[in-house]
Amino acid sequence: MKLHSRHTSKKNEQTEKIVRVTVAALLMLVIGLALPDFFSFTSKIIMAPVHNVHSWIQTSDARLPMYLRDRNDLISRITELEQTVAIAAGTDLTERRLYKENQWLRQLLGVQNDSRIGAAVIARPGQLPYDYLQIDKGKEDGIQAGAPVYVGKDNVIGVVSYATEDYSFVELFTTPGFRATAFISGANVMATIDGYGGGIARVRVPQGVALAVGDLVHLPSLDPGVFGRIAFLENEPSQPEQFGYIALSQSVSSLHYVSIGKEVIHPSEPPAIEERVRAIITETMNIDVATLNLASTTIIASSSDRSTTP
Amino acid sequence: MRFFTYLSLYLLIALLVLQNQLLLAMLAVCLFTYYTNAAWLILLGFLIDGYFGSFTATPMFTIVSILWYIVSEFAKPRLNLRATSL
Repeated sequence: MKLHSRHTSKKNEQTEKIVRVTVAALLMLVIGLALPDFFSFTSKIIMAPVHNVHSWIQTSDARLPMYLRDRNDLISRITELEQTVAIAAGTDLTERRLYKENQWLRQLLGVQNDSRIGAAVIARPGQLPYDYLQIDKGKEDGIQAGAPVYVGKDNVIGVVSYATEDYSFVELFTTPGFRATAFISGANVMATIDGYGGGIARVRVPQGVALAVGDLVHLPSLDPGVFGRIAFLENEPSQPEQFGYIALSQSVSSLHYVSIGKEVIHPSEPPAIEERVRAIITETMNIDVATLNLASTTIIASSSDRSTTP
Repeated sequence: MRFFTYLSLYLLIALLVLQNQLLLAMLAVCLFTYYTNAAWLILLGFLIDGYFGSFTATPMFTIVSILWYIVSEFAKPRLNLRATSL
């Protein structure tokens, strides 16, 4: 009887201990959700040695990390880069011509060029438990949470979700749960992009909209903000909606360098978005530049100036 | 000596999670839970989620570590495992 009561009291003590620890942890969790910056700052300091080892393994050219990294991964990366260089050499001239033309048109519309910060990718979604990119630049270099992240000149892939002094995390537009308003040129419709994971995002439009593979997807809240192309269509005639799957222009695993805008994304006002959509429609209508007369472009430029004046 | 072994295992779990070697991390977590107290893993969950800046969204590692602590502490006596603590 005595033994039984001792056993029960020990069991009760153990349960009480579990409840106490759980309540304390939940309390800490609530405080963490209320003060995320404080928790992140503290974690950054405590995790500094682990972060340094992690960066060393990911980026160092020393023997041990080189052995730790998968050799096949490096070989496939070299092959991929060789292919990219070969393709880039072929399309370089066309791109430069189109870029100059685009810059000229943007200049006519009174768009200011923004400067960017270059950063190397330390870790990718496959190497991180969250669907993030980790980059080697932080607040010290001018990175701010909410800044857009680009690949190339105008290909936007995500936004900075969290920045410390010397590194940052980028949330990709393809991260599950991420939503953004997009404009699809070709079909000329506005739709919501849903992150799908694995470098894929999905867009939903009603049946009857002429969505096609290859249509460019723009993000009007960003400037310049081409997100990608429709890579695959899922169209069941019996369903009320059709789905377009958007792949990033470059696979996430082959991203080594990105550029980050210095300006944080501010929610755009509806008239500003409409203006951007009109500009995209004009761009995609393939107007012969020679037929544009100077007087009309001056009017566009002056009217856009007027709209920005308070 | 034992303290340093457990500390090394603890840091190894953190490093494995950062390297996204989650299966190995789970193995290390099981070992850590068997030999010590899983309550320390809650602290690690906080640190990892803080490192990733996940307290602005859903701190998955913290939530999972709390659940793991509850499950392991209730399971230990039933599986006849010793419940030791540092």
